[in-house]
Amino acid sequence: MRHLLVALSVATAWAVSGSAALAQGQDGAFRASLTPEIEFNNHIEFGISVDPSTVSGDTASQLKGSRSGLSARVETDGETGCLAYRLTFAPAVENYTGEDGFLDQFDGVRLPLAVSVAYRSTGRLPELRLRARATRLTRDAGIYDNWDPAVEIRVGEFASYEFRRRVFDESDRREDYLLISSTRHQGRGSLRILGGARTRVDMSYTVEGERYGVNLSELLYIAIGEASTFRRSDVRQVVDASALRVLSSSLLLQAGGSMMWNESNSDFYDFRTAEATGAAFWSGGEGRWVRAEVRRGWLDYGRREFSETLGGPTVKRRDTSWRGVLTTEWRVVDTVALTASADVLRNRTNDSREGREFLNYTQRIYRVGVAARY
Amino acid sequence: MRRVTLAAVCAIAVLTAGCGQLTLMSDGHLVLDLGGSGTDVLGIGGASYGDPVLQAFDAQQDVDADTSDPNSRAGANCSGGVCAIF
Repeated sequence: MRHLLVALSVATAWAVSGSAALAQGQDGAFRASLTPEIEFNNHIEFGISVDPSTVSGDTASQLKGSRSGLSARVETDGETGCLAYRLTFAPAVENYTGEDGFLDQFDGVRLPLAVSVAYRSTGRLPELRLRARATRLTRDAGIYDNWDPAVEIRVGEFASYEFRRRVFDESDRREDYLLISSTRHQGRGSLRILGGARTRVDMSYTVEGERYGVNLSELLYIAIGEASTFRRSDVRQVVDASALRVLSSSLLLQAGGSMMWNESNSDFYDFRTAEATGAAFWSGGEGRWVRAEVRRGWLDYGRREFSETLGGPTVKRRDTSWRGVLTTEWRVVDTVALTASADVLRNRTNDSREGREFLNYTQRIYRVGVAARY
Repeated sequence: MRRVTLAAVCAIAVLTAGCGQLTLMSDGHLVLDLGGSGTDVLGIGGASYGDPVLQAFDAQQDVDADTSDPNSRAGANCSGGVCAIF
């Protein structure tokens, strides 16, 4: 872990000095922040609690521990004529503790670098923005190591297209599609509706296609009923809508709904989700706010059926969840803010077969941190 | 269900479009103004944009927008329901 911290420090110092020089040289702005935080989580998952429970169902499905993290962020931006640029580098290192050292394998470093260039015309045309980002993720367990590059073209804030490729370092057989390389194309359109001075509705439609690699474990190919040469390909559609109402100069309420449909070329991965959200946001001045949120979720698998008894009637799997989140940021001096959050998720499934108990759980995440900005 | 939802969204958009004015805000959003918000094309936003609580709300959502990916769950500490999906 020590060498990761050293690498992070060197990378941050390099980015800070480089960005500052760039900003000074081109009359731009420069910002930096450092955020140490610590988190307790009673249900740590890294893509191993997948369904079917070929992996975690028989081992540790409820990992409990703490994560201490240190993230830095350096950013510089500026303008030259019609063009504006922004460079962002946000390295983060995280260290897990718990389960008698089992969680050490998740210790890791995340190195995201983003560059965006915007063209602003002088007429009544929307801004065109080209954004490229690449994230390198490494953990002590090499199975998670990957590159995640993406390129996005954005028209104002109402239309965008993104191409993304996730590439894992090794392509040995994996038990989870989360750990397999994939390619994604995504398009998104949005519309904002203003109803008077204090009511705002945001609506969006997203469609994406994702194609995965073929290095899935033989066991899972059998479980999903496909040949070992099968290449999974999904088309996802998401409809989002949220409305907010400003009640006073310090309080607003928000209500929203979201639906997602996933159509895969394997019936096993066809599903749809729905989510309803209610939230309240209170602002106590610059840099001081509290947000409370309640979410209700439904997950339906179109064709993933199970039978409790051999030859018995089949039932489609259906999950429901409740989630409550309380988040706050409280600026104590100009450059330093305290952050804290509590996140509780209760998931229940109708799949009552033996070995699926891990799908009924209550996850609690408590986090405190300090954000220092310059 | 999907067709019904999409049809409902389209119906809302069409119905409200008949009652309002479609404008492009200086912050890049395409806005359908149903009246009373005081928006102007590529100008300063309307009264609702100037509300301090709304500015604070938008600001806390924009943090990390450039470097985070809400869809990224590989190697992340994801919620069980979502992990189970993919």
